[in-house]
Amino acid sequence: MAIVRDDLPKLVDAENGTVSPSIFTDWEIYKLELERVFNRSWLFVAHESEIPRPGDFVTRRMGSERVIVSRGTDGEVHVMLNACRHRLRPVCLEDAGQTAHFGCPYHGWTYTVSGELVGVPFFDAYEGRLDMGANGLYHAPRVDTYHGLVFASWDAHAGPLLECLGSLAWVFDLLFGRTGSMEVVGPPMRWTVPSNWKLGAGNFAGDGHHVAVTHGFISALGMKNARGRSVSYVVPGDHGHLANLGGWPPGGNVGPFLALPNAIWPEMEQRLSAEQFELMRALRVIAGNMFPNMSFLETASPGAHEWGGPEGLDAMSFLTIRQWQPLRPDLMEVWTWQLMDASAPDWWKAASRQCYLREFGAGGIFEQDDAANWASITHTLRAPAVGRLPLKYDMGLGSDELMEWPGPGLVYSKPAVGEVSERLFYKHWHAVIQEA
Amino acid sequence: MVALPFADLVDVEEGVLRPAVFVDPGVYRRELEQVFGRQWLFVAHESEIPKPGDFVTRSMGEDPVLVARGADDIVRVLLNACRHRGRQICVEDCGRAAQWMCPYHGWTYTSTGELVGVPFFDAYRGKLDRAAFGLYQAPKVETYNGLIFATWDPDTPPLSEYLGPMAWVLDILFGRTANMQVVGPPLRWVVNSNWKLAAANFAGDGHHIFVTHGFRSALLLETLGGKRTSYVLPTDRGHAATLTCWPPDVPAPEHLGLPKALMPEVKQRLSPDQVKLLESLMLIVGNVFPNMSFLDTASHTPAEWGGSPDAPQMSFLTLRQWQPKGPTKMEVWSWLVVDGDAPADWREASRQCYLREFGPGGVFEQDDVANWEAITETLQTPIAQRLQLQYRMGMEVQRAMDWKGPGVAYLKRSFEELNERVFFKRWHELITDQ
Repeated sequence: MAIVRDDLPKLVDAENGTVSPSIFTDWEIYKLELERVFNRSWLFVAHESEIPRPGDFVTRRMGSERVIVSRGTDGEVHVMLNACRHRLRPVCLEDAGQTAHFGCPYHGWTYTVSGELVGVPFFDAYEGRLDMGANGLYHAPRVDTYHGLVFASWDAHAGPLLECLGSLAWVFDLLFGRTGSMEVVGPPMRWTVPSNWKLGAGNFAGDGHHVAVTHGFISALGMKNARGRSVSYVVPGDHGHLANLGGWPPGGNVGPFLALPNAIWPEMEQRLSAEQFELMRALRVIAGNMFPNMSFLETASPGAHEWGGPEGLDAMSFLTIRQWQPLRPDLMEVWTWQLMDASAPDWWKAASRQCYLREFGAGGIFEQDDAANWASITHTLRAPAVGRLPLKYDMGLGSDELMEWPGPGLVYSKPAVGEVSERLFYKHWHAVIQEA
Repeated sequence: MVALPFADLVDVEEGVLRPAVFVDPGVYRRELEQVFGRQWLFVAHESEIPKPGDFVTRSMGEDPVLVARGADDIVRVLLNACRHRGRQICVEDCGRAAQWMCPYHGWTYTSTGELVGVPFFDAYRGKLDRAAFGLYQAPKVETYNGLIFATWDPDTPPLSEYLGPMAWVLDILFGRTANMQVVGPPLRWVVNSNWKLAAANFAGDGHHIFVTHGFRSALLLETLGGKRTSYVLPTDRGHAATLTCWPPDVPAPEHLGLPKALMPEVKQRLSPDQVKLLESLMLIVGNVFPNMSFLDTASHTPAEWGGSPDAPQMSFLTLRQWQPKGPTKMEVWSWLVVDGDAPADWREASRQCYLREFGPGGVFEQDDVANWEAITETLQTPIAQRLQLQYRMGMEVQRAMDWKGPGVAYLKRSFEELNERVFFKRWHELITDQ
């Protein structure tokens, strides 16, 4: 069953919309994607509001690597391997905090919050042979931010972040740049799911039609399905990023601007372009995935009983970022953040949090539904007979048509349902995994 | 990850190691052959198998073995694998047996390893030569101060030559009285760490104590001041030990805290130089290459080992083995060794002292394991491959001119990583040897 590297060209057949089961289960492919996908891509590591003051830090993962994301006393954001340069033991065991120094628990080498080595017990024993300047914490060579989202890459030659984002930047403006006060709510929730990470990423990249079945309880609960032709775009990013934008049905826009509170509309109008602002007015949902593993979702729920709020509100929405962190081929750790416009009214923020917790996060109903599918697939794919059967991503194959839209570049007009987004996600993954 | 040539794994001159040393499956397979397949390996203490028919099951590298005192009173080390299909014939940890019978098809062997029973023997029609199918024996087995060693390599030099100057140190620990014995069966537990992190830590990491085991200060246990003599003893074959004396101005138990009742015998068995050194010692720690570590240490106060306030300062002697179970996993085996003729209350106090500090529930043990597991996890990640582990402290060391034992010892002035470098130098020689 082991995959040899000669088999790489056969793993994904984008023309016919099929994917080999081994990409979700095989250890060799997993190790290869740690190197070729995670160690070359721009990876989301934190939101700036998590480390607002000098000395603040959070510990995160970039693929399999543990990193510290800190704000130095100089105000700069640093992303550093969480490994002492003496024997590579992690120097920080906390999830988050504020500190002046990190001290290794093994032999006590001590680093500033910016990663400089400033303390070595029994330093004299080195007799001048230890160059402290050359033994700071190993920094990710590339760190950049966009609308407060902090990204890093291990690849010194990675293109600029903005170039990597491409047309996705225009979508990120809508989500993260519409006000000047976007912030995360509390620490991220984390839990493990016995699933390959790509099933989460691919699902958010663009699986729209599972909603009707997997999350079918919404019909059982009498919640309304959107009917009629609405605004619908699939935005293909240049580097495997995907965004799906869906509007309210004609005549059914019960929550303009993704149901965001009208108190922040003026600021949005000021910060967004006219095209962006007008598109936002029609939108009900934005979902997608920044390659490889950062997904985002902002969605409005019509009807207060869906999200557990008081009667009288036509719609409520929430914004979440989520990351699918690989731990093994068959195991991932899910990290989820809720983000809010701090300038929104307090009552709205409280309601949005209720809405989010009901639907997503470790106890959210949608989350539970999704994880059951991904874990089940991952489990099944390990069986040798199933391992011969390709997974199908061919819905709507041949009917994908590019068109103009208010944003940059061309987009696909999303048919009622289709799998063009996932085909593009796996096509890009396949290209990256073959780059020596 | 692209496999590195073995030659590039260790740079002793610079004192740096590549992460692959500790996590790479190819390196691991190589060391099973070159290190564990060729070196003398500790397998048991004679007091564990005192009578004919006694046996314990152990491992040499990943190979399961029986260490058995045969009916003829000779100790043999036998591969625990039936010659029919390789099944382990003995599934006990220890016991006494006249014969072992394979649980699969019933081939039966005596306590000396001879094949004496084959069910349906007639079906072989005379083509099975039972004499040629005794249990496979380690070609060389030798004992030093009750410590039984074996090797798979018939060309390995005799044990005393292999131990070299370390034999002199083992005399002080295991040969000081005639009735040294292990207490109970060894404690065993699994740690998700490469075995070499532990072996090197015991071979010579003295400076982690102040940080890793820093709770000692928090518990108000006294850190020793004063100038004390400390010898660092590296050897060409990778064995290494550190011997540290009490500071001259600190009231301290003599002779590593051993009971006075033993001293006449100790003085008779050891040389005057060994006795003189032992007089002022507070600590002996080290590692017999590749994976047998030893530690005899005196605690400063009864508060440290859990005794009543008027109890004496106490010491214990432990022998421990880091058994490889894959590149990122080991099984730790830990024995407490006591002088059997020491007073009963001293032996009990020594056991309390040991259990408080080492063994699976010992405070020191817990601290160490947290480091080794964390490092082993980090070393498996791709970005860590860009970095190196550093063993560069104290590249220039000063010879101890007053060292009376064999070999060349060095004076510990502050702290150094010399013994760890020596351990990895020897390991690297074996890995790269054709």
